[in-house]
Amino acid sequence: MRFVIDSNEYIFAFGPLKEPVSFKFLEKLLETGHSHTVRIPRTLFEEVKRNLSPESFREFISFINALTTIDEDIVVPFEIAIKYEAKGLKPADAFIAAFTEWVGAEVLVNENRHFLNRHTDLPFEVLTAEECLKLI
Amino acid sequence: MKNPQKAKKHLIKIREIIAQNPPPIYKMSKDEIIKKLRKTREEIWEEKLAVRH
Repeated sequence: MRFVIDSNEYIFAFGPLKEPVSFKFLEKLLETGHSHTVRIPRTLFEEVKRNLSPESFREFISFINALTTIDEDIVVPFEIAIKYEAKGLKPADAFIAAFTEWVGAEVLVNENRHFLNRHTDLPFEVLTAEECLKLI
Repeated sequence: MKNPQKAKKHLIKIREIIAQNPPPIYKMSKDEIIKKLRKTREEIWEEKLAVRH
């Protein structure tokens, strides 16, 4: 399967939270790694970067480099983002949705229950880490 | 996926670093973290738009 993993999943997976489901998801994804692809746009990478310490960020770069290649935001066709903006999404959220569609991901992994929840006609699913654990 | 074994080593290392010295975001609740990251996203986007205009 092809996944786009939102910044909140990375932050939850890296930290000492009581319910480490995001960590378990990433761990299982890596254990079954050759069956899956992860894509990350520059914006998501920046979101994680700005909320980590310099030391943990250096390790995050190594983690991402072992996982995938960062896609520059500019590669996403403008028309796809406009389509999502027309559906009422804020430009930044429209971009994430457009990126997910553009890379052909089946799933956008996100802990924000409200993200895209009013949109039922998406070409991908928006699932939590817990829901994804059942898929992989 | 390029190198899942190597990625797992880095994942474990990040968790060790953060457990020893957690950045401010880890003092927040789950909902606060989600809100904070949404704010970060908006800030990044505004900066990108400002550069383009």
